[in-house]
Amino acid sequence: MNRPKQLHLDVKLDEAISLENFIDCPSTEIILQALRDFISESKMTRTFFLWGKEGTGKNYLLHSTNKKFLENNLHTAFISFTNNFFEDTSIFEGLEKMDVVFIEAIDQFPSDNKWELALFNLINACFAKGSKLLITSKLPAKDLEVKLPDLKSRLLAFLAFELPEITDEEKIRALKESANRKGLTFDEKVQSYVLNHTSRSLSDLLKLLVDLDTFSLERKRKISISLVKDLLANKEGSPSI
Amino acid sequence: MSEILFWSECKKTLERDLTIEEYSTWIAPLKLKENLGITPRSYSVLAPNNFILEWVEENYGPSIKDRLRAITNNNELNLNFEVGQVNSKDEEKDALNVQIKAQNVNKANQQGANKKTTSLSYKKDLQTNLIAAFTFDSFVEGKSNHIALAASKQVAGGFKNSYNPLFIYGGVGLGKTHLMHAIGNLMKQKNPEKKISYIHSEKFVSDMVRSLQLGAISEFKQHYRSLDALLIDDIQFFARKEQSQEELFHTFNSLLEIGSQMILTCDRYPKEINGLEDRLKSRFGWGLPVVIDPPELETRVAIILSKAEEMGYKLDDESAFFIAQKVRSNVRELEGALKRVIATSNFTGRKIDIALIKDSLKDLLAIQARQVSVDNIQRTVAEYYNIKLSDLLSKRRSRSIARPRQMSMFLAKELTNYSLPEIGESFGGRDHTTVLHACKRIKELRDFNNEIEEDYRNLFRALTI
Repeated sequence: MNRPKQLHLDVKLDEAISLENFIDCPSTEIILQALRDFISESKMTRTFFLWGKEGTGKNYLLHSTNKKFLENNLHTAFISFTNNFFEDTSIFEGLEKMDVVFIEAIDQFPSDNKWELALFNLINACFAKGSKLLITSKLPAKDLEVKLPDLKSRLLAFLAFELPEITDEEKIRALKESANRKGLTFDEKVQSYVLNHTSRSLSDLLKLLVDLDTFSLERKRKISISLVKDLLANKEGSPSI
Repeated sequence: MSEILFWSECKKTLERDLTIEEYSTWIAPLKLKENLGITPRSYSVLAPNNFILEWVEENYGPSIKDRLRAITNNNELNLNFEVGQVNSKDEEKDALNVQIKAQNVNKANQQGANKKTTSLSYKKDLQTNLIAAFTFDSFVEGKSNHIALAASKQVAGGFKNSYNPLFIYGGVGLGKTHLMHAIGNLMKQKNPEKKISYIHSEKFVSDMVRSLQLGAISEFKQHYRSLDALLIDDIQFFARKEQSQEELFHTFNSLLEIGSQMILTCDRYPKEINGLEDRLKSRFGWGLPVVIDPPELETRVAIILSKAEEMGYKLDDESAFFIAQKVRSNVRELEGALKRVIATSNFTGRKIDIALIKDSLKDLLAIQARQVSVDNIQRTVAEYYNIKLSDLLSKRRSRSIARPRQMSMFLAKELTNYSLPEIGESFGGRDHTTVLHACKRIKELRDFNNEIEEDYRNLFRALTI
C-alpha cells in the first residue's frame, strides 16, 4: 500500500480552537458568517471554497469548522494536501457517504489526470448524496492549474470567499484575545517582539502562542521576551515558525 | 457504559494525544459498530475506505484496542477493522445496489426523508438517479440552447421517436446535465411505470468494474439492457476505456432494438471524441446531435434572475445585467458569483446593488480584467490560427491575416471594456471605424459560416474559462 509521508505540526486539537475564537474583525466578518451558515442546516452554502495567502488562518478555520461538525455528532473526512503526499486516489473512495468532506490545499493537489478525475467524481458524488464540501486553496479556483475543464467548472460554482490578510493591529488583537483565553499575560513589549521577530502570519502567531503556553508551563516561567527567545532557539528548524 | 459512550471516550483520548491533522484525517472518520449475534461481544471499527482502513489498522490499531480495553475494563474485548458506514447515508446503499436490487419506491422515499443533510433543491430519486429540481421549467431558454431545448422536449414528450439517441453536446457548465435530467423527469412524470436511469459515464464504468469483480456482470447487463430510457452523462469519459466501450456498445444496441430511448451528453461532437471506437461514434450520430453554446448576454441575465429567484431573492435587472456582463464563461461560474453576491448581502444586511456586487466579486473581476486583456486576446488568436503576432498587428490585408485580426477585434470588443478607438490603437494604430467594420463582419459571418462560428466559440472558451 502507498503510504502518505507526513510532517505533522506539533499542534493538538486545542480546546480553544473554535470559530468563536478566530479573530472577528472587518476583514474576517463575512467569512465567519458564511462558515456559520455552512455549519447550519442552511441550503445556501453546501459547497464552500475558502482561499487566501499562506498564514491567513485557513487551516485554523478548517479545523474549527470540522470541530463544530464533530461536536454535532456529524461524520467528517479531512484530506489535507499540505503535508500529506497521498500516492493513491483511493483515499477519496466512499467519502461522499460522510456528512462533510474537507479538502485542504487543493493548490497542492497532484497535477495529474487521475487525481483530477477522482476529485471530480467525489464532487459529483457529494453533490448527489447531499454531502457538504469545504475546500481550501492559496489560489482562487479560476487560477488553479486544473486540466480537467469539468472539474474547474464545478469548483467555480462553489461559494467562494477570500480570507484576506489581516492588519498588524488586528493580529495583535487576535494574539491578545487568544492569550486572555489561555489566562496568559502577554504584555505589549512581548507582543511587539513576537510580531517583529517571528513569522507575521496569523496562523504561525497563534501556533506560537500555543507553544509559548506549553513552554512557559514546562519552564515554570512567565511569558517574557527572554522566554520567547528561548522557545525560538529551541524550535530552530521547526516547520511551523 | 454504552458502546457509543466508550467509543466516544476512546476518541477523546486519541484527540488528546494526536495532532489535529492525524486526528481529523484518520480517527474522526471512524465509527464503531457492534457485530450482532456474536458471542462474546465483538465490535468493528469502520473506516470509509480501504486506504484509511489499512493506515488506521497499521498505525493506530493496537493503540485503539488497548484504549478500548482499558476504558471498558475488558481485556477480552474483540475488535476488528473493516470498511463500512453506519451513518444515515449508509442506508441509501450505492446506486448500483439500488438499481439492481431495490426497486422499492417507498423505501427509497423513506431513506431520502431520513437523511440528515438533504438539500431539497437537489434531492435525488434513488431509483432513477434523477435530480427533481432539474426540470424544463427551471431551464432558461436562450439563443444558445433553444434547438437543444426543443429537441429535448420532443424526446421527453413522445417516449419512442426518431431522435434516438439524442446527443447533447457543448462546453462545460452550459446546462447539458440539466436538460438531460429534465427529459428524464418529464418522461417519469408522464409514464411513472417506465424504467428510467440516469448515470454519469464514470459511474457506469466503475459500476461495471465492480460488477466484474463481484461476479455480478450479468445482473449489471440485465439492468441496463432492460431500461425504457438510459441517460448517460459526459460520454467523453468513455475514451480509451475499451472494455467499457464494448459494454456500452452492446447496451446501446440492445436498447435500440427494444425501442428504448437513449440520451447522451458530451463535451464535443461525436466524431471529435478521441479514444472512442468508430462504431460508437457512428452510432452516437444516428439520432440527433444538438449543441448548447455558451449563453449570450441576454440569456446570462435571464439565468441569473432565475437562479436568484430559486434562491429566494429578487434581483433587479441592472444588477443581473452587471453580473452577466462580467461573468461570461459558463452557467456554473455565474452560479458561483451569484451565490457570493447573495451571501454577502445576507451577511452584511446590505441591499444588492452594483456597489455590493463590485465589493463581493472584486477578486473575480480583477482576475477577469487580468486574463482578458487585448494583449491576451491577440496572443490567443494568433496561436489559434497559427500566425505570427507581428502579422496580426501588421498592415497586411491577406485574408489569412485579416480574418484573425477581425476576430481579435470582435473578441476585444466583446470581452474587454476597451472603447473602439482604444482597440484600434492596440492593433497598430488603426481607426475606430476599422474596428467597427471588423465587429460587424464577424457578427455577419457567424450567422452563416459554421467555421467562423466554431472558431469564435473555441476562442471565447479559451479566453474565458
